[in-house]
Amino acid sequence: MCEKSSVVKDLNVEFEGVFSMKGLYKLIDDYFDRLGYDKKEKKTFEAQKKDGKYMEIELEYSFKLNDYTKAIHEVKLKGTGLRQVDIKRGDRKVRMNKGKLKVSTGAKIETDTSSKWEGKPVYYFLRTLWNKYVWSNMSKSFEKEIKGTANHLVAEVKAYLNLGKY
Amino acid sequence: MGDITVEVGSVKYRGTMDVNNVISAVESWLKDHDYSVSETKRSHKSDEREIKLEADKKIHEYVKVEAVVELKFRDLQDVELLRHGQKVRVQDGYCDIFIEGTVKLDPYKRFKGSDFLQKLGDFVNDYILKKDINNTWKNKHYYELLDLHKTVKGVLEFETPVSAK
Repeated sequence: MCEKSSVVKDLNVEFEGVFSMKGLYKLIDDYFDRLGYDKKEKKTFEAQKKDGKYMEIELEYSFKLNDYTKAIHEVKLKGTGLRQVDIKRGDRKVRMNKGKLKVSTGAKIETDTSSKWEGKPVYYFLRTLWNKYVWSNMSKSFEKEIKGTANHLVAEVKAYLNLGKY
Repeated sequence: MGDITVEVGSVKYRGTMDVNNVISAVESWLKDHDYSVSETKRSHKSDEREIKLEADKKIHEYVKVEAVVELKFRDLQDVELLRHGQKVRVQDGYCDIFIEGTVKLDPYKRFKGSDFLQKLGDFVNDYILKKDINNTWKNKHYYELLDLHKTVKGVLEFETPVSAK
């Protein structure tokens, strides 16, 4: 089994108003695609309710930093009471959503991704030494990079929702 | 290295939908992408429908890709909706769609039969074709099936039928 350690926990953005869910999803997907991440849509759920649509999406983006390490970003989108509204932009109508939105992101770092250092007790021992004396210094630069990516994503989401400028 | 499983994920939905349209959209997507499709399960109870589609496509002599799509509908009720001024009969209920893929190496078992051939096959997979298997065929198959995932979301009128790739 590979080892996972959390780098960024629960960076949340909450919003209520008019926004485009399609646009927001595309923004997040494009952001990680530009950085070369692989995508996995772990959960996709939508339900029509009396007070509007309810939706939950869980996305996982992963990137192999080297043969030993992988960066994983998790993004959860939750929409409640979503209704479609048409907004006039210039001469044309644009379809948007009105409702509540919560975006949660988190990131972790996965080591020994192919579980090569667990086959024998001596490998496990060597890995422990490696992690303690060599890897702990190397991992800081990776953690910094992952934190930067997560914070930049949150800033982009906020900017998209007109919540703040960066 | 045997078969490589490619997990794409599931789509869950609760609301109104045209069940036949969803099934035919999946079938036609598979056919349009050159898969040979066989329906391995079809059950139709009072308010439930279950369909399992198995499809495969030959990439070349050494690689074949497979896709399994399971469509489960439950608590279905016929309802009539007004769409663009016309009455349309659709169904209201739950829908679960599971998509999974497999990359099959050596589908014609050319490296089977003796220990020597088996070891030669392992060598080819682990050293010569390792990058092709992981970076080309596995990823290509995954992103192809992700397009099916996107198509299903589009048919069910999800808010997010988009993808960067």
